[in-house]
Amino acid sequence: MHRHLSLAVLIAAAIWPTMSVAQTQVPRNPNIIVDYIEPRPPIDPQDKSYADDMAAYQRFMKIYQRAKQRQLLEELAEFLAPLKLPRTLRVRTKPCNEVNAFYDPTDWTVNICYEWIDATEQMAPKTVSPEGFTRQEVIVGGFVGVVLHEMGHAVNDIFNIPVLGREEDSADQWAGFVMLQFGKNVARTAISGMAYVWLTFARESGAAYWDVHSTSGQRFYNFLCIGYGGEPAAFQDQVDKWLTKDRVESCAHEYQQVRNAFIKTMMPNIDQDLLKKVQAAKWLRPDDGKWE
Amino acid sequence: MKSIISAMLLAVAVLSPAETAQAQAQPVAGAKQTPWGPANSQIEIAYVEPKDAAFRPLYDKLKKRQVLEELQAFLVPLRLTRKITVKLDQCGSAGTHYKPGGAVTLCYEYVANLEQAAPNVRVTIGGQTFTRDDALIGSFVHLALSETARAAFDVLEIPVWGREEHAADRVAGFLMFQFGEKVAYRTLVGTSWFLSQSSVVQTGLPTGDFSYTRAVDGETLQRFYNMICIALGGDGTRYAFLKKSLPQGRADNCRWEYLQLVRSFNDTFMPYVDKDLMKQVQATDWLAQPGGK
Repeated sequence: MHRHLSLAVLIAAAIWPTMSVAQTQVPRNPNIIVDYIEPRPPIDPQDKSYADDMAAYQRFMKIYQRAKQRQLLEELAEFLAPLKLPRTLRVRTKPCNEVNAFYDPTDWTVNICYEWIDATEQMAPKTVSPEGFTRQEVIVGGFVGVVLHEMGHAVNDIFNIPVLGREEDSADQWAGFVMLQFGKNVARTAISGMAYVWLTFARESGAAYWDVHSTSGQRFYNFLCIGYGGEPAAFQDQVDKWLTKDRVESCAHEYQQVRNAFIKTMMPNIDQDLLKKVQAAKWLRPDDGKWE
Repeated sequence: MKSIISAMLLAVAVLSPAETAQAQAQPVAGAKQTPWGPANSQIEIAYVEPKDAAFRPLYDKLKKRQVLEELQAFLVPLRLTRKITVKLDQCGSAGTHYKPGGAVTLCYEYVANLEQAAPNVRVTIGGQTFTRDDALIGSFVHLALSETARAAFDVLEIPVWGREEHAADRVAGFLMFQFGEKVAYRTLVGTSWFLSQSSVVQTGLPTGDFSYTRAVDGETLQRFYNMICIALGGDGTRYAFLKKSLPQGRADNCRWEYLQLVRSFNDTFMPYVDKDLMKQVQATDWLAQPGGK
């Protein structure tokens, strides 16, 4: 049960419209500064994209207001309390003019774009997708996944974590591994949701094999594989549907390799007492993420 | 065959500067001796006879040339905490990789693919003549190093972030870059050639600049881009000719990727490298075959 709780902090943050502010005894990480950058409306009604920009602005304002009212980032700072950060890390939501989220090492800032949150809400099925992914999974997982991915970049940078493989894949692994540390239900919700986001992107655009990121299709399979590697029962139906037999057989090894890397490189940077406090809080509610 | 022999020579050479020739490694107490110096006593080797007669000539030549003995000598500075076996074997497919607790297997099928992909004509890449031997040497060295890297991850419990297959490729690429310009060119460009030619529909003669690369196997193409990114990151001036093969958005990131790799290698592998033995290995000219042939 305890393992369900600390990620639940983040889950709660992702699904703020339907839940109250979490009641935790966890202090915020004093080295994390949070900020909500207010979107600005378009200024020229004669601009040909004005109507679309105004519609987007209005959606972003709703996201901004919800996030601020529900103290989304403050809760994230509580969730991250166990991280023994040697310097200030800034986390902010902001408009970016692109569907993205990114860590900027020049000022140690994690940026979560309103466009990303908006895009995942737009792509989420009304209830359940034809493939069986739920709206709750997509909204929760789409947010949790991207926040943890960017946090993966941040910790790689701040703690000088050795990355022998590719940086972007390591950030996905970091996110997937953390998602798996809080029980089957949390893992299933967050990882399935993130996987669906990549499945959707894979269907919408071609594969850029030259890029620093793995392709959207690869990321979809990778998330399902690490999920199965960590919680086989929770992902059996999905890997049966989506992964080849050869890949399924390697998932346990893939998960163990990430687990070993996390223990060796990350655990020295985590305060165990604060981790227990984070694990002692309850955040997730039954109706989380189920709004229209 | 000569190309394969050269490949193993070069596999050894990547741990030594090509400029420092002729010095002999000092004997290691109790170690088996090879024509190239003491062998790593934690590495056992085996040449497994192929069931398919088509691979028999390859088996005979590789065994006669003692390519695995050479690899044993090349890896002598690596302090493995338990024994591993490196073998040449028929695998059933070219895509077999190391599995934890198993053997490092260099597949005859993969080596055959290297020969198939190597050009039969001389081409110019980066202002330098690129030969069939270069293609074979580079790609075989890469095979040996990347598969051995996977075993080292397991045996030494190296933390591996960023997916094992990419980590193995990057460690191999990094090593290929550490022993002088000549070695780096032959191995990096040779590997890049194989990866690019393995992922294309060949529509004509090679142009020599990878410009006719077309993906039919996306993951191999992805590895090709990773390899040329290491080259650009390691020496952006020498390998500037590769920029046209890599979109700007990735090319701009290659130096950062390379520096991250350097730091990560130093943090993870170097504690397991015997510095004195490393110097001995570095003092040998591995590009030259025994007897001067």
